[in-house]
Order: sequence, then structure tokens, then C-alpha cells
Amino acid sequence: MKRGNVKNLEKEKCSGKIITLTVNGEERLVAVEDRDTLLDVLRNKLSLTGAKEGCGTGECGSCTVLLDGQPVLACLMLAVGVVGKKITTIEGISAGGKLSPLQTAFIDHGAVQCGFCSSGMILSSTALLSANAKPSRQDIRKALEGNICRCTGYNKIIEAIESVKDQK
Amino acid sequence: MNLPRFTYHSPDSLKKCIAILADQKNGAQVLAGGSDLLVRMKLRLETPGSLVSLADIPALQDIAYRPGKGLTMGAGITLSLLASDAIIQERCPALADAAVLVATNQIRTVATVGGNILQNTRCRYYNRSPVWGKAVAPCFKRNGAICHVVPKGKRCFAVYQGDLAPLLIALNTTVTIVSKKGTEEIPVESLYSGDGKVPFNNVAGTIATGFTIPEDSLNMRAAYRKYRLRGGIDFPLAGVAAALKPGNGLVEDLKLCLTGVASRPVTVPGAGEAAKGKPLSRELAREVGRLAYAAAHPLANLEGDPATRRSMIRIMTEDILTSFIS
Repeated sequence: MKRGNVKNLEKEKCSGKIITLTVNGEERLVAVEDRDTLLDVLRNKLSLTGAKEGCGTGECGSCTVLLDGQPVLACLMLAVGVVGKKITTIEGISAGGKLSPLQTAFIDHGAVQCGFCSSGMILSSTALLSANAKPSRQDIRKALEGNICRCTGYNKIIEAIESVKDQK
Repeated sequence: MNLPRFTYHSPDSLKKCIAILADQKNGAQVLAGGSDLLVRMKLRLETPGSLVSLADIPALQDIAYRPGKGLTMGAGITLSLLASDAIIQERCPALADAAVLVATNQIRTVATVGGNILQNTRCRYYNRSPVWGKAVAPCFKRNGAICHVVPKGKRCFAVYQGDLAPLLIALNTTVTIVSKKGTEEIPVESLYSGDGKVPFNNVAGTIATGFTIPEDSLNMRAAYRKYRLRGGIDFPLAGVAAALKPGNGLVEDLKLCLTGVASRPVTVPGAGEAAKGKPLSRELAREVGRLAYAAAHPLANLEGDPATRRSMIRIMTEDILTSFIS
């Protein structure tokens, strides 16, 4: 169990509780308040800043993470409500520092502009490809309906996902 | 964006859940998927002192078909499961199709059937951040004494925008309600008060545990159509659900229910009588479309033009009935 993040846990001023979250395959102890969202904990307590806060109200998808392999919005999940579930963030899909094929495809196809939506886009499409190795263009568009790209780079993003599909 | 402070409870049985709800004096609220309630809490539209999560109650997670009784669904099943479950797809494919149209993939992973049915009403003058809220005087739903949509209105006209409720109502679905007093089974449509400010009748301290679509309704042809500005994410600006019972080439029964046009789902009066005993035809579709149009009274409290939303009710009604012909 990785305990680095709880070095000063005893001293931390927190009216809440200490919970164990399974993040990217590691068990992490964190002190949380009941009101802390999963996004608050990932970004502010575990320094996993790949998940972004855009709207904070479930409309933009930039905080997307995988919960037991399914895409969810970390800004609308209570941290105390995800104990015992497997959480995967964008940091967790590049094993050993090696980018996943989907990440590489995003770079190769220029599917990253400002990059704010990219982690959510990649996690949503990772979930899609693990459920359906050969999705149609319509399936891809449907899977990404909850991820907004304000640079409007959707075509490149869909092409990147299609290129990975074709490799399989 | 922070949530206001609250105490989190996660009981593992209905009995404990009811006890906690009865015990809390500082406004305990039931938390299902959270995609509706947590957003309103972030906007400080609601600040409950306690949240009681239903996630650990296994009794809310069943889907079962019992011959003669019908299809029962636990209120806690997620919309993703509703869309993909083999029993639902076989017995009531229209419900699976409607579930796919709700919100987004990420929200469907956590949002529940019960939460969708019991989602709060919405209005452009209510669903605002505290800062934008200051731009207008508090309306009825914000505990004020004015409606910005109907200036001389005596009540709140916030809109009910659930996608599943119209279909469940068209299919004569019942909901099982558990409270301290016991268990009762009531029609889904009797949940709704019609008042935008307090859209549900007597739900304090109670839990909706499941929904039952009767056997008769499972033999009906059913469909749901949704009008929204974007192909994804959006709530319905207008929605129509229809359930039709065919018999000997004629319409034996027809029930239509609308969403996104009033503070509650609206059952179209006279649709069944107009269609009964007639062959299903384009003329009949147009006639019923006119009835649906007459029953819809959308106001300027959502995105989109109310006149367009009303026209879409007629168009979608005709579209559903025409699709039933083929």
C-alpha cells in the first residue's frame, strides 16, 4: 500500500474520515470529508491532475475517469461513495510511462489542441474499445456524447479512435 | 466547485434507510446516482444536512420478468444497465431505447431509474449558479413570490424533463413506495403534483423501491421520441411516449404521454377514444397528433422556442404512430 500521501495524515485538519481508494491499481489512503468529490481527491490529495474540472456540473466530461472500467464523471461522484471500486485515471492507462495505442493515435492524428478535454476523450474511448473492439463511427460519436471539445476538434479525435480500431 | 457540507449515510438495508430518513431533522435527502441532486447542491439550490445513499441496498437492483405479473425493475438499477439488460430488451425494448437517449454515457453509468423518475423540475430562472441567480428576483422555486415566465402566475411553472416517466406512464406502470407506514403500490403518474416548485406528492421520508410494468402493457407497441437541440447530453425540450394495443388490425387502445411541456408528465386526453376501433393509418396519426398538440403548453422557460417545441410534439406523435403502421 502506498502511504507517501498520508505521511502527515494524523496532523491534517479534517473533520471527515480516512478511506482507502483503489486508484490505478494502487491502494491509496486519503483523508476526506463527506462532501469531497472524487475529482477533489484525485486532483488535490493524490496529485493526479489528468482529470480536469471544466463545468463542475456534469456537462463537459473533462473530469471523466473509469470506475470499474465504466466512464463516470468524477465531479459528480462522492469520494466516500467509491470505496472498494477500481478507479482508473488517464495516468493509469500509460503503463510504465509508455503511452497506450489510443494516446499515441491522438498525438499522431493531431487530435489534441488545447488538451483540456483529451484525458476525458481518451478514457471514454478506452471504455468503448474495451467493450466493442470494432465500433462504427456512430458508436464512437455516441460514446463521446458526454465529452465536449471546445476547440471543436471532433473529426481528428474520431479519426484517431478509428485508426486504433483498425489496428485491432 | 465545492459541495455544501453534509453528513453521508450509506445504510445496507431499506429498514435502516427509512429509519435514518425519519430520524434526521436537518433535511435528509435520498441520494441515488447523484447526477441531479449533486448538481443542484453545487449550485446551492439545495443544502440538505444529510445524504442517505441507496447504493448499498441490494434489494433495489433486481430486474425480473414474472409471467402474469409483468416486468419489475429495482429503482436502483442504472440507466446503462436498463439499456443493455437482456430481459428489458426482450420484454420492453422501447424502455431500453429510451434509456439510451438520457443524458450522456458517463451519467447513465451512475444515474438510476428511480432518480430519473423523481428528478426535479427545471427552469432557466431556477437552474443557475448563485451569482447568476442574483441577476433576477427570487422566483417561487427559489422561495420568492414571482414567476419570471408567467408574470401574473400564482405558482411555479418549472418543467418536468424526465425521459422515462412518459413511457412508464403510457405503459400503465406502478411504483412501489416504502415508508415508515408500510409498503404501497401506486400508478407512476400519481407521483406528480403538477406544481413546479414541489413536483412530487408526499415523498418525504419515503423510498421508491421498484417499478412494475403489467403483463398487458408488455404486449403493447411502445416508443419514445425526444426533441433536443444537440444529439446528446440535453434534457428533452419536448418528448412523446406512445403505447398502442393492436387487435384484429384495429387499434384496441392507445395511450400517449408527453414530457418537457409542463410541470408534470402530461397524459393526452382523448387519444384512446379517438383511436379505438379504427385501423392504424396516416389519417389517424394526424388526428392523434393534433390531440397531442392541443394538450401541450410549453412556456419560454427552457432553451428553444415554445412554439417549435409544441409543433415537435405533433410531429413526433405522428412519427411514432406512422412507424407503428409499418
